[in-house]
Formats: sequence, structure tokens, C-alpha cells
Amino acid sequence: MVVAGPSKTGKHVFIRSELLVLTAEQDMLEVDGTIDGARQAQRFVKTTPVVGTIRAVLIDGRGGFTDPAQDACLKICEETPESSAVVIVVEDEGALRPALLSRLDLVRWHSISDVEMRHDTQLDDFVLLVARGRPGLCGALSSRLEEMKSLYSAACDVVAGKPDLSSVPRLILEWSKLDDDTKDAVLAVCVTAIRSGFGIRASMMSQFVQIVTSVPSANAEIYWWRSCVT
Amino acid sequence: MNTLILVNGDDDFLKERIALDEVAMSLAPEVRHFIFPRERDQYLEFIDIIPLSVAQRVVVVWDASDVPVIGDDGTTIIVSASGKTLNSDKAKRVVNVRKPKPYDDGAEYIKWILQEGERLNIDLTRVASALFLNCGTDLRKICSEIGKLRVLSGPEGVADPSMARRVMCFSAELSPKHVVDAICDGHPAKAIAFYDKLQERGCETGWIIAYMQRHVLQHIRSRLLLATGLSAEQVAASLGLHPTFFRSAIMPRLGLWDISSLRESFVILCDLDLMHKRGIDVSHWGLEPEIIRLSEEAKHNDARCGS
Repeated sequence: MVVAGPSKTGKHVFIRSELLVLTAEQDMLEVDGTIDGARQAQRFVKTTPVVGTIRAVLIDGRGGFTDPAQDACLKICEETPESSAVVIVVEDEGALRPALLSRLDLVRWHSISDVEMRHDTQLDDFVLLVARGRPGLCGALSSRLEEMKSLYSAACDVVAGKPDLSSVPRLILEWSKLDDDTKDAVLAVCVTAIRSGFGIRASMMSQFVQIVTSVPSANAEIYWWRSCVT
Repeated sequence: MNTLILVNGDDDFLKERIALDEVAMSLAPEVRHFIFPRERDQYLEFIDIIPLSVAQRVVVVWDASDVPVIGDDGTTIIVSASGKTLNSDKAKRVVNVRKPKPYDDGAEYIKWILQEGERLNIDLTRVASALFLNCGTDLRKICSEIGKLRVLSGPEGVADPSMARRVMCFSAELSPKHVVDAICDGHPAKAIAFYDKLQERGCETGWIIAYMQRHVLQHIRSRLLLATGLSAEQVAASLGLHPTFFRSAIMPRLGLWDISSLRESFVILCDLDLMHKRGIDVSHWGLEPEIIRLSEEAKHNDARCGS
């Protein structure tokens, strides 16, 4: 099975918990989308369950799924023993090769509505606006709510062509020290600001998002200024 | 009565040289090897001993914080001051040395190098700038290079650049700041020379790009903030700089580039930075033209403002 859907919507957490209901922890293997992970999965599915009745493999392809790893997974899917279950989690099923995709059941995962988001907890309107049905962002957004709001306001000013030239939002200054969840939340805030405007300024801000996502060593402060002053 | 000579100054090399010159004036070359530098405590012990075989003796006291006790056995005492200026009525001579100042493109250093050439009877006119560029503000290193040139220049006593290039060792403390300063001064050749030197020493291209990015960004922000009507103090506070530094180091250079040129440069530097981080070598085809462009523009605008 392949589960595909937007990030921070709980695919991985849900599948993992469901697999643990089906089988024991000793009979479950979680690997990433690299060739090493795929080879490990290949060896694992060939073995007999220790506690339960099935062996489950959860392949996390959210951080990328390399071609050699997909080839190895294709081999697993072609020769899966009856006592094994393989689940691949990706953000976009288009990243999978057609040969592999045709051998898997596709489950599309969607973001949830604001009503569903509010179901369990009382969330700030700003968090709902930025999270857009992705519950995985709520924690990081709520924990630094004021800073996220001030970042949103600064990003909206940049997109509107009225940047504050005297300072940089604190979350951008601290970018290299932020954990992955907070970084995702910061990027979501910037994307929300981009949606509030259009034109060259919005495009400069989207370049900022793209650069800090794709070049980890880039200095976020410098590229923030780039979207402000050029 | 003993002879007291005081040497004050802010450069150890110059003080050392003056002290050794004084020794040379007082003692014949045959006995000079008996002298050795003394600390103040050693001096006090030494001065109590009556000289046995020599008529004249010299003691050099290094890094003295005060004037030592003077005896009357005819010893010449040369005192090199540590930090504060020493003075005494009993001193026969007080020599004050002063380290040249590095600003104004090292003009004082170049003058000092030329004087040093005159002292040693060697013409350093054509290599003085290169000497300063290569050795920086370390007078000991400059003197060591002059020593090499003196040997090579032969009976003509003229040091030429090709000879200097062969023997000179690059030892100046360099940082990307020197490249940026040369750009601001409108010296493309000097900026590129510094840049090449940094590259030769294995300096990270990313470091140089980052330094230039900061510099260009500082100028763009200063211009834009001043245009909004903020005072120099407020702009300095926004940039996180001391107002005095902003007034003396940033403001005089604000007119060197057009704002659109600075913006263009910032975009180029950001692109070069990304390419460098992605593993593409941008040092020659990317960064060099940008250094030349910025320095040429600074030179042009500086000349226009001057005229």
C-alpha cells in the first residue's frame, strides 16, 4: 500500500499506530527511502513473524525516495510473502515510478477541515489560517504563537512592498537553531503571507522559502533581506 | 657616573633596534657578544658586580616599567620601556619611537620603508608598496624582506619588482575586509590582488562572498533608511552599529555606489553564494568581475564627487 498526501497531516503517525495494532513492535520495521533502508526491508520481509502473525514494513519516503531504493521495493512488492505487509508513505505519489505504483494500493490522504481541526482542542484563528488542515503544524505554531504572528505581519509587509528595513523577525535570525517542526511552521507562515499578495514581491518571498528549503546552509537572514531590498 | 639611555615607544621592533644601535655606539664589535638582555632583577644583581676585564660595559633592560637605580661604575644602561613613557633627569638621551599609522593606504609605512632603504643605501622606490602589501604592518617582517632585497640588489643597490616577486614571502594578515576596503577605495587591482592572496591561502570563497554580501546590504539599508528621514543615530541603531563608527566608516562611503547598482550587486552575490553552496566554483568567473565592477564604480563616483 502507498499512502500519499500533504505533509503534516498525520499520515505517518496514523499508519504507524495502525500497524502496531495489527502486529507487535518486534514484527514491525521502519526504514527511510534510501537503498540501505530498502535492503533492510528486503531482508526483514523474508523472515518469520516473532510474536504476531505478520511482518510489517513502513517505508518513510517523505524525505525522498531514491531510484535504487524504488527498484529494491519493486522486488519486495513482486515477491511479498503472505505473512508480510509493506506500506510506503510519500507526500506525492508522482515521485514513485509507474512500475512500483502499479503494484501498490494507493490511499490518498487529505488535509482536514477547520471544524475537524477544532474538534479536540481550542486553536487560535491564526494557527488555523496557517495550518490549513495540517494538524502537524499546530504544535510548533502554538508554542511560539506571538513570534509566528510577528513573522506573519513582517512577511505580509514584505509581500505588500512595505518591508521593515530596521529589523529581521526573530525566527528568521534564529533559523539555523530551529528544530525541523518549527522550521516547517515558519515556512508555512511565509507561504500564508505569499498567498495574501501577488506580483514580484510575492515571488521574491517564495524564492526565500524555496532557498531556505533547498539549501540548508543558506543564511536565512541574508535571503530574507534579499526579498526585502531587491 | 653611569650613562642612562631611555627608549620609549609603541613598537617592540623599533625599540629593540634603537637599543641595539645604542649598544653598537658604546661597545666595540669584539666585546659586543658579551652583552645579553637582562630583566630588571638580574640587572640589580649584575650592576653590583665590579667589571673584571673590560673598561666599558652595557646593560640593556627590556620591558622596564620604571627607571632603575643608577650606579657610578661607568656602565651604560639602556632601558627599553614596556608600556608607559619613562623619563628621568639623569638620562643622557631619551629616544621616542613611533609605529607608523596604517590608514591613508599605508602612506606612513611606505615612507618608513623608503627611509629604511636610505639608511641601508638601497633604492626601494619601486617595491615599497609591494612590501607593505605583502608584509602588512609588521615592521620586523618588512625589515627581514628588505634584508633579502639588499643582498640581491648587488652593487647597483636598486630593488626592482621582478626581483622582489622572486624572494618576497607573503605574510600579511589578510581578511575579506581588505578586499572590501580596496573596493571602497576604488582600487580594482589591489582588491583583486588581495582576493587572489586570500584564495592562495585557501580562504573559503563563501567567507569572502558573505563578507561582501554584508557590506553591500549594509549600504543598501543605510541608504534606504536615511531616505525615510531617519537620523544617522537611528540608522546606526537599526544596523546594530555604534553611531561614531557609522558616521566615520559607513557614511563617507555611501555615495560611492548607485542604489540600483548595489541592489544588482546584492542579487549577484546571493546567486553566487547559492552556486558556491551547491558546489559550483564561482571564484573566478563570478566573484572577480563583481569585485572589479564595484571598485571601478567606486573609483568613478569618488572622482566625480571630488571634481
